[in-house]
Amino acid sequence: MLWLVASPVLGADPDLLKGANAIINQEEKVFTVHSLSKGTTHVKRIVTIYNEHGNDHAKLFVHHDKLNKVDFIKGTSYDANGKKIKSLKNSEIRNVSASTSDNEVLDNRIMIAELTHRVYPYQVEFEYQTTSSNMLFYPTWVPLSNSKTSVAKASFQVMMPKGMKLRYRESNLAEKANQWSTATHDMYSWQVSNLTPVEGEPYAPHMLELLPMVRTAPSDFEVQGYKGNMDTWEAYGKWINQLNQGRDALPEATKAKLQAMVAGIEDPVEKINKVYQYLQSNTRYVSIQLGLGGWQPFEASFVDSKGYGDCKALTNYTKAMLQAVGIHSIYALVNGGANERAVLTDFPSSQFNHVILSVPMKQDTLWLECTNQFESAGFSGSFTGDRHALLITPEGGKLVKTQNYTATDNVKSRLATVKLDESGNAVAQVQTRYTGIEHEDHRDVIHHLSPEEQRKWLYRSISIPAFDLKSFSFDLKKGRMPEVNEKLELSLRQFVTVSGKRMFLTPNLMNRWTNVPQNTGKRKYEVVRSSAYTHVDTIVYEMPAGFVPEFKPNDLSFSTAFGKFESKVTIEGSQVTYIRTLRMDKGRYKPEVYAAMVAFMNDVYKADQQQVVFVKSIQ
Amino acid sequence: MKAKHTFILVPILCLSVLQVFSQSGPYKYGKVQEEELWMRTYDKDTSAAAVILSDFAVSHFRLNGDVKLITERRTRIKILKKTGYTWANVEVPMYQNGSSKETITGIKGYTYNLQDGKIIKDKLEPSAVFEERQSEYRQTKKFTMPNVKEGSVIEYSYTVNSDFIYNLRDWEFQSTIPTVWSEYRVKIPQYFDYKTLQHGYHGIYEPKDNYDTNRDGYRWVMVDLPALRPERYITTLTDYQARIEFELQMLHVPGEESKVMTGEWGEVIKDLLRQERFGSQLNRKGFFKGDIAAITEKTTAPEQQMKAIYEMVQQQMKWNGKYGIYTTGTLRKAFDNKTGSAAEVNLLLTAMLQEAGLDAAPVLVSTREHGKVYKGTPMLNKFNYVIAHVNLGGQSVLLDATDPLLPAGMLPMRSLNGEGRLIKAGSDQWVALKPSDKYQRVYTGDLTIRENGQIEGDATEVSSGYRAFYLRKEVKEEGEASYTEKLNKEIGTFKFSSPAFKNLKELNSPLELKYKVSASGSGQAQDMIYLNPMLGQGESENPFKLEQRAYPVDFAFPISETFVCRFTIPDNYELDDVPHNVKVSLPNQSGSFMYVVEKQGNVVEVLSKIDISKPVYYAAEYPQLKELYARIVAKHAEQIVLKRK
Repeated sequence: MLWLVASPVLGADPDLLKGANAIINQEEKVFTVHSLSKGTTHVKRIVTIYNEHGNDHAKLFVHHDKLNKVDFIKGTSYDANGKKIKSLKNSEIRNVSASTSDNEVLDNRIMIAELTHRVYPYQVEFEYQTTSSNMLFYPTWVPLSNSKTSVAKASFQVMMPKGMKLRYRESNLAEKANQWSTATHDMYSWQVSNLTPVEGEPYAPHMLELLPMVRTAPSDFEVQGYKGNMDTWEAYGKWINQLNQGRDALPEATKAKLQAMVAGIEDPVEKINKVYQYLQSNTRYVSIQLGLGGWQPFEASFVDSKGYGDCKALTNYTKAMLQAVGIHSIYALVNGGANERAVLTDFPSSQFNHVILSVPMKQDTLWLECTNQFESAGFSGSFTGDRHALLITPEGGKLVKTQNYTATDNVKSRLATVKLDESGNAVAQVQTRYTGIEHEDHRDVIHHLSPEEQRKWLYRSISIPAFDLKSFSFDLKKGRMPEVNEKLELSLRQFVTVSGKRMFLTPNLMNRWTNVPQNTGKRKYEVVRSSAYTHVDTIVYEMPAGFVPEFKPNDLSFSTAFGKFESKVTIEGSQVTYIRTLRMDKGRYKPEVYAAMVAFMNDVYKADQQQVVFVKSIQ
Repeated sequence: MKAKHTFILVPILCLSVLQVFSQSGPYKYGKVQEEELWMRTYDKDTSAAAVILSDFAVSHFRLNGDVKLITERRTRIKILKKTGYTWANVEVPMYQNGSSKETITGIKGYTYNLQDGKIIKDKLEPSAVFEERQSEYRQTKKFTMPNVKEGSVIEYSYTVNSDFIYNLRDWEFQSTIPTVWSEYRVKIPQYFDYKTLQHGYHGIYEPKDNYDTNRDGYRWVMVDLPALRPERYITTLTDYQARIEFELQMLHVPGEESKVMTGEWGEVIKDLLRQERFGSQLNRKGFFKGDIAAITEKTTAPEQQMKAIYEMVQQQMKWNGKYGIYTTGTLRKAFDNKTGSAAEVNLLLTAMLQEAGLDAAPVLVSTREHGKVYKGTPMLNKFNYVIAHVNLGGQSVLLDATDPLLPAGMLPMRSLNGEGRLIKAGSDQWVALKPSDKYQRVYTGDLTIRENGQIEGDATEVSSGYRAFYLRKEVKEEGEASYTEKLNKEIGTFKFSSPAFKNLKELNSPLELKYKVSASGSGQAQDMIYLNPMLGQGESENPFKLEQRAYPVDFAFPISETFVCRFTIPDNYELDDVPHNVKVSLPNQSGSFMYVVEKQGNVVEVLSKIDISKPVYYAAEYPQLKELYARIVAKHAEQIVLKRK
């Protein structure tokens, strides 16, 4: 393999320097597969750092665990004249745990090496090697993985022993793979050169969709004695199923208890609710992932006797309990989290971080989140809704979509009456109903905060300039489309502005848009909006005697591809009624529509600022 | 801390030490009361998710062989709600420094549940105990209690065996959940004189029993402690927590002369100035002699010399984010690497100032996150930061070179915490760590209103003191080009353009930001023009919303916001309505708000001035502060009305 001697730092290509804090002069990543169960990754990288914002490149983080060993880490730094500043000593490499919370026990650790210098520019050279016996994962190559960084030259090479097949997926690359063979190996390689920084844009697709990248995956593989194949989702699912095999046995006493609990119940949904409630009141989530335990669940009997487990263990346990009461369910892999990247359906590989349970019903599918002691049975919400999940069955894996939540599901609808006095103070009664994903904030507050903390949360989250919260109540209705009904009694201080003889009323009581994204001019990427909701605010004001209307905003209506806005003010005697309806849809749009979206958002912003003006009537 | 200490001691002491363990705490281990299991809510705080029923620890020194500090602790917790489950996942830290370390042994635990009126006991299995290494200094034991449900009582115990015999850990009586009983006992052999320091707002409880302090050592008990809850504008929650602290004052090793570990400031200062990782670093000045000579040749005025040295250190040295009062290596090494801890950066600064012949000395500081400093007797672990002090012909100047954007003489917010201790031979002095400047902004606008409601003009924001510092920081993070690019913004009817900074690099001058402002008319009803003259610069929400406040409001520095805007109105319009002028003040001139509208010909001038004169307000002053802001918010919402003639 060719390796250039660290070239003097100066003389960088000015095009690469533009907008960059560092330039990756050269990176070589080589992945050598030794067998079904073993592979080595070797990386050598030279980076020139031009200012302190590029110092991230002077730090190297290498993850390791029981199945991934670090063979060595070397590092050297050079000053602008190519003179060596220092070499990394082994004693300077820190080794820290990757787990961060009290309910997490992991064997994932991170080695951290640092060569930060303070005179710019300087050059850092890192070389390291790791050996993995977890061949479920082949590397992903992302040559431009930092922001404000350019790449002069980078390459990625995979060496497969003859007879083993490499699977790969390229994205955003100018050149495709090079392929050749030696006597012992099939070789694959990729190269990029002169990549300039990728600038983010508001509402852009996930960065992983935009960067040049090669994902790789095995065809046949083996982890800790478990052999599998990943050519298809079906085959990958079979492997997972194999790990779960025979781990769902429950003690007879527990089975009997569950059966007694559902005795006489016919409706399967009711049965599921019973079992789910039993799970929620008898277990808790504790993540213990050591070695193969990152993929294989604890036995159901363990969870039964200890009352805790991680997502795999609790899902497997729930599956076993449902089985005991005659309900069939399926273990399913998913990517949990709001705004997670989408699963690449065309590239079967390990892309999941969470496990949930799918219960096929007559009409549709009910999804259970087994790690949460509070969630409604069958509500996936923003955590696991609207994405692909891989069902694990004895016949293999099968990709399906989870529950989608649209603008008609996620609703915030409010009715308020506000009684004003001459000095501008007011008393308000507010009732708001939150459904679907819109109920999630309240759900968490109801379950996790004490009444005193709930009160503080309301003070923080109600956007009215000055008010006192006289009383509040929340009512949570669990269900597949859960909802919260909130009642507030507020005393508003100077809610309307009295200036001289006039009174200014901003009729949008507490749902004003306060910010608008910037219109950045030329747009490169598609526009992605991932939240869908409908807000309806109906506010009725009772005005004090002695004022007559002087100015009333026109009725407004904007209908766009992104959503629809309407506002209307009616004045009848002393009563002012304001109705605002905003529906935002989710979707993916062409880059050129961005300006229209910002204009729409600015229209909403302006509409929300509008005021009704009253003057003191002449006596 | 010092390394492992082995001293051969007289054996008679060992006897009384061991007896400590036969004492019982408020509860017998393993004897959970049935009423504790029946308990559904905690009467004194019905919102509590869990309650510490008893937290009990005994420490003693094992003197045979390697001297060790042994602490046995047992804790009983009632789980009331699912949100309290996190209390059943326990993490115990173990520290290590070189060959000295702490180990945890004898972890035992049970979960108790009530089932059909019977008490069911589940044991913590060894397989549920894990060890995790966070860093070379810290490891943790983690364990997970079995079968925890709403209503469970958990109890666990363990022993900490520590080589850090000069370092008794704090005992924290109060936690983020309520505590019914918290007790700490320690039997200290005559070789050690530990000093204790009590914090928080709760008193020691004196139980009526046969506990004999002469025979059994010290004992502190607190009962019925409420949960500790955070609020905005505070230094650090531990400043308000009920806890007790220890520091070794004297060490009497048999056969050796007694050693003062701390005690009189005079002694402490002498000691510190001799310390390899503190004072003796100040004596090695060879490696920067040339740099200082270059400065002293150029200027002889002491103040100029001080500024030049400060700027040199500030620009050349990068703070690595580390705290502490001692250097980790030599100043020489930090100087060569151009990076170091706060102690290294500011001791280097001190040494350089001394080299130039200035009267400079280090000052020990406790940062805001570290908590308030105790002024009674010297305790070095109360400090975690070092700055420099210069006496310029009787005038005190404090310097901190850890941030390249701080002008000389201004301290970063983290250091603005009470008083610091001057470390200077023969001197006995605390120095006030006060903000040298305010958080100050003056906004000046000059706008013309057109007949169609359009507005055009210029605005200038002049920031000084802490406001300038934070703004410079933001601009630096973002990059000037990209920062000003973002200021070119259209929001609602307003549009901002051509932003330009002045004095971005001149740290000692106020930072100016100029831009153009324009607004399109609303397009409706031009017979009347309604205009909020604050142009979006006013206070739109009261930062103080809660009815009450338990802790002082600590802003760290005074605040001053001035807004002046001239509006030229069209000839064929007249002023129909303007907000009334007001002036409100807090008692003792501790704050004020003024709002004045003046008209001269076709020019209307609006002035708003907010002054928050004190950095810290007592909890009792909270209602007035809240009221002041309520008035400001209301006034800033008011409008000017123009009517066509």
